[in-house]
Amino acid sequence: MNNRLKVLRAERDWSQAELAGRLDVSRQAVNAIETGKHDPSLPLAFRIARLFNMSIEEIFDDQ
Amino acid sequence: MTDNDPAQSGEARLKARYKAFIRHLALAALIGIAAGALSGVTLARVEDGALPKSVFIGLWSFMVALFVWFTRDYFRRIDEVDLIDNLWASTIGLYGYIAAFCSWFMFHRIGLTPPPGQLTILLTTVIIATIAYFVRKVRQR
Repeated sequence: MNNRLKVLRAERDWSQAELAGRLDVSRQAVNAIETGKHDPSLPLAFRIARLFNMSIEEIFDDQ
Repeated sequence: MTDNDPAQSGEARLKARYKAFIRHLALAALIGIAAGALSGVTLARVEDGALPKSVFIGLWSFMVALFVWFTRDYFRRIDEVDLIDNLWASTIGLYGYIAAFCSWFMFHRIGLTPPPGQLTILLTTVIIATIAYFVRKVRQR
């Protein structure tokens, strides 16, 4: 699944560790999601969407 | 997941989360070592007849309860990626156990090997699961 997490993080000048702390996950989890090695669960996808004040579809793309 | 203080920066929260996790693991390791030593001593005394079997059963019940509590707490603290890594490692370890035991058992039946050694197979299973876990961790870095 494609996602805009890395771009959104860069726009806010956040490190992976900063984003991980805000989401209450490990830095490795953020990296795995950004690189497409892990598709987040629905609860985590909602947390990500709320953090960036966007909808899930604006961040994740299954095409 | 852990308690997440929104007043802190993300990096500070991540650091606090990591420290709490390491403390949890260290405590589990210390208690595990102490419980292992205590059970070894108790088992020897029960075998000698110096202590009744009920003492060991009580200790065993306590250790199982501790193991369940720490396992539950561990899975509550880790995130979903780590949970999946643990599940994959456990599955691979279980498959390793099944393959090792069945193979050894059949080779024993035709007289090629001594009877299956449960301790050897158990240790092999733990080693396989640990390697599988760390291979997944390295791939995600």
